[in-house]
Amino acid sequence: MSQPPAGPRGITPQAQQLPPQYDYSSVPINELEATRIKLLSLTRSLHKLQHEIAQGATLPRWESLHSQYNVVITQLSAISAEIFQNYDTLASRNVYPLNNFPVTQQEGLLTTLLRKKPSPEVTAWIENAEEFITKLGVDVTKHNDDDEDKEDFIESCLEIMEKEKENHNFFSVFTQQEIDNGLNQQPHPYKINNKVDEDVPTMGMDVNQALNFIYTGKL
Amino acid sequence: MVQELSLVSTINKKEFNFVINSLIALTGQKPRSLTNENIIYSPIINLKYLQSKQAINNSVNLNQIEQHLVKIRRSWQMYSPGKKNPNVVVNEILSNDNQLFMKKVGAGDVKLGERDTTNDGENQYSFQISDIPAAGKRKVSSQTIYEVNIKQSATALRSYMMNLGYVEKQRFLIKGLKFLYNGVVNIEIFQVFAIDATDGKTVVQIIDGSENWFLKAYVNVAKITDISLINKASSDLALLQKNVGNLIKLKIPDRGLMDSRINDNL
Repeated sequence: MSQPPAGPRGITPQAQQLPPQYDYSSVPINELEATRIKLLSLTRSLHKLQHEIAQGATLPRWESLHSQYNVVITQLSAISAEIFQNYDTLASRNVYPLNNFPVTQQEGLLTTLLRKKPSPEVTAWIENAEEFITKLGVDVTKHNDDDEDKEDFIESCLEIMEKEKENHNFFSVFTQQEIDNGLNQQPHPYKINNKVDEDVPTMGMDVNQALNFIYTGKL
Repeated sequence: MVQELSLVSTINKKEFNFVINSLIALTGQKPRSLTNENIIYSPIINLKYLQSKQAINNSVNLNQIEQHLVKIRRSWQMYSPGKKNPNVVVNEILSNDNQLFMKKVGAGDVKLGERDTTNDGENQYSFQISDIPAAGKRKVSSQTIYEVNIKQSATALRSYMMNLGYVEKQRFLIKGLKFLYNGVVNIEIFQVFAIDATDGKTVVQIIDGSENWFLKAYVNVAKITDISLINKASSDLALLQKNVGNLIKLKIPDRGLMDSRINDNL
């Protein structure tokens, strides 16, 4: 009579309790793990950002927002690079549940995990992005180093930047080139009187004296 | 009743543009106009004086009664007579031309008007009594202000105050700009103009001949007992103080000079 294989610490389990032996050799564990770790760190930073925004009555300081935004962008690009690198491996695999998966109980989880089609809001994002790219008139699907395409792309980026600039108030900030070209002579948007009377004495009334007048009427 | 935590600074006329531009950049806002007309009223009967001169029965102890000056404030906008809408005053203020401003107002070329005058010509006034700022070593000034809103027409105000036992002592205008920093700290930059309307004509005169600007950064907290809000407000002010430190030297105002209690010298 052949002995069943000995389990850890010498305990001999019953044969029917043994988990069925599956062949994991063709599962791309390294690739999946690498993606998983990167996704985890991304969700963590997104949660942190969400928490910080929801916590206070006011927005966090812009420096903090900006640095967290940078972190998220870096993580996103790392994930996209990782997926792109393992594209062939990941795309050629089919996913299916094992025999012992509680299909009825975990139906929701299962459909989420097996879903290959993007969810409706993601579809909307993709459509938006495609529409945006079409508007730019740049073919981003071409992965070549066509200089003309690059120039087109840079040009459209500059156009967008100019448009965005009009939505905000920027002034008194000039590059050396703009100063050399005399562009810093633009009129101020608030018509601030830039004349300074030179004969004005530097010393004057202190704020405390002004407060004294405001509170007591005494000069 | 409101607790006002504040820091103040003096801004030289030459630095005004620089400071305004920096504040626009710092707060990300366009400045809004800060314009109000103030009247300081003092009580007709000075109890402390009467007590010191033993003019009243000494069996009555008046030391327990604290009299205060009353400040009446209303906002205004400049408008030219005949024109319906008040002018937008921000550009006028930014032009920093006080001589022209004083001349215009004094000559009646532009009038000071209420934004929200009702049909009866009633104005919304704020009636304020302020305590002396709290003593002690602290990071920001902390002052209790009592305030109610009253509705009166300009002509009825005098008799209204007279019935309360107060007479007009000093009238002045505040002209300036305001910003909101971080959603909580109010920043006001202003100049003060005394109004003298005794001989039937209005003379407007800036109180500081060097035309310096004054800056007040403040946070109002509803209750002095709300320690966590008070601490938050103090740290918000400290943050502003640190962030603008190289440009604006924010300091704690002299509490003795902000004392509007009535004493016995007339």
